Amino acid sequence: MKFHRIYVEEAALSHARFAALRKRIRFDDQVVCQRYGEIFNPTGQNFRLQKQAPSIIVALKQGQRVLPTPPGYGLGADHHFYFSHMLNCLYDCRYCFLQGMYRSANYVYFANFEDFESDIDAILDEHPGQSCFFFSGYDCDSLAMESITGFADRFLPFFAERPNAWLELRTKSVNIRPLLEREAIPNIVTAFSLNPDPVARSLEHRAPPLEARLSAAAKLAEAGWPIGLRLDPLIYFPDWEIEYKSFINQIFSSLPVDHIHSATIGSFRSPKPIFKRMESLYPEEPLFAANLQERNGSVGYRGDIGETMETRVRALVSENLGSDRIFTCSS
Amino acid sequence: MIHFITALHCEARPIIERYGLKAAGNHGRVALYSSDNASLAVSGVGLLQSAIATTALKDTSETAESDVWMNIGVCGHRSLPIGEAILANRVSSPLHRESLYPRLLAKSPFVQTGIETIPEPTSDYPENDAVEMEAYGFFQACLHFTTLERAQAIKIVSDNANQNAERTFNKDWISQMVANHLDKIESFAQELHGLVRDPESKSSTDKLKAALLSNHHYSVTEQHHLQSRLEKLAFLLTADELPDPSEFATKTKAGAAEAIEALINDVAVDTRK
Repeated sequence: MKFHRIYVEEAALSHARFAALRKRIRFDDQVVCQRYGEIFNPTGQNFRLQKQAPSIIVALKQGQRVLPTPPGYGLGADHHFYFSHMLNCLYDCRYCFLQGMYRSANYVYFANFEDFESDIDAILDEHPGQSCFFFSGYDCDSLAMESITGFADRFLPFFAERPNAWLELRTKSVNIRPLLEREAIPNIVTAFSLNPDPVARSLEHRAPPLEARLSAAAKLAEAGWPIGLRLDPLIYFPDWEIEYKSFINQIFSSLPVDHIHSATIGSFRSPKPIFKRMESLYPEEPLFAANLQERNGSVGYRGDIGETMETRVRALVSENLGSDRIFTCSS
Repeated sequence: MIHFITALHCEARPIIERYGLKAAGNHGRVALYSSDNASLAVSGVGLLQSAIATTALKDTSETAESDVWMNIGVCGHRSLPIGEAILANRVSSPLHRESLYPRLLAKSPFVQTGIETIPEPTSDYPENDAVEMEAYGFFQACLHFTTLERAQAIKIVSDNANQNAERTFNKDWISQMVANHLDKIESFAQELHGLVRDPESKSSTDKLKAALLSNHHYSVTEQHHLQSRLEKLAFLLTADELPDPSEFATKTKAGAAEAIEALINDVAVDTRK
């Protein structure tokens, strides 16, 4: 992977993971900063432009590293948390909230994995005997940049030793080598974000095609790894019902039901301020124009479009999976 | 369009010649120049002067969001050789707490280093950064109207620890040093300009707006909403796809709003890509 410029926090300069990263990437220039926020947070940046040639910022995550998930975002465990070893994503999915959430499209890579692990252990200590689910792909794709971060390599063995702790690797990547190199770990779910092929081709820029993702999921399932299906966001378009029906058939003809841990379903929606920023970045994008309305501070499909889509897709999925493994995303 | 800010006329001279810039008046002590594809301001020395000149150039030039802004000049550096051109990757000032970080979206043909904008000339060079007297003011002003991807500072080393400024400073020599790097500066600016395109609307809804405003009374708030929806329509539909304004002649105000929303809602995510 090649970067015009990389940034590194002074405190991360001597970190072994930064040294490892430098060997795995090519770059023309290195700039040292005090805090990653100096580069990532200021106004006067254009996310859309930066997405053309993002830089990487290597930092040490301070403060709260592992956070409870928002209400309505869970998979039936006793407690749900999320953490982000990276901010921003290799892919450029037009519906993704990251482009409205952050001013910068640069990748932030938090190298202090050990601190994340300590925080996870502290949470587990607070909840003895209870199941805790940790989502790792909220602010990034969990696997897309594995070749330079080594995230899975580090965290798979960590979670393997903690059977009450579940890890979700949320991804569109087909980079599954770190998993296939190991025996399957029952409490690690590789959750693939999926949409029908026409939606993927139109909106999921730079992401592997649907067929490649399903093929990667099938390989993992065959090796015994639990698979998650993340049908979120559902995207409305004229032939959505026909396309989603065919899409669900495609999924269940590609994957063995026994290895599917869960499916989540949610129609396209966004908090209003984030939506407004996404819309201003891509004013020509029909996704941000048609059939939307604001409700209670959130922008989603108008009328009952979103609910209808969720209900129909849920019915199609439950025909194959039953209903107890299906979760609705409402936040 | 590329906009240049230099402190001195001798730094500007090769740029004026290259771009065929013509004198375009003054803003106080700031001398302004322009042509069809570039503009330039000679600011005078200092952070504040640079900020004033950058703002004046913005105010007096025809600018677009995708324009590139460049601060060109000379600097001192402890160890880099005289004549080396550097691209600023961080700009700091002892008068300001925050450093500024210009973003780089293209391959740089120049050495990259930090720049410290200082209030007085010095021969006490920092360990790594270059020193000069304008860049921080240039960026501070730029941030009011453009983003950090579109503003860059390129400085040519005129003095270092072995050869101080008093011994080397000569106007023709400074002009020659800038001229030596002008091909690279120009191609770098063009590359940035090519990268930083903003989305353009597919059509104009001005006629439709004029027709609606002449048919109905819109409050200021309603006019803002109408403008916003028509802008959206202009991004989504080509001129051929837009309705003829006469189709709206018989519609009520509410009917016109509904018709516009229907047009927007008919534009679906393009699944044919």
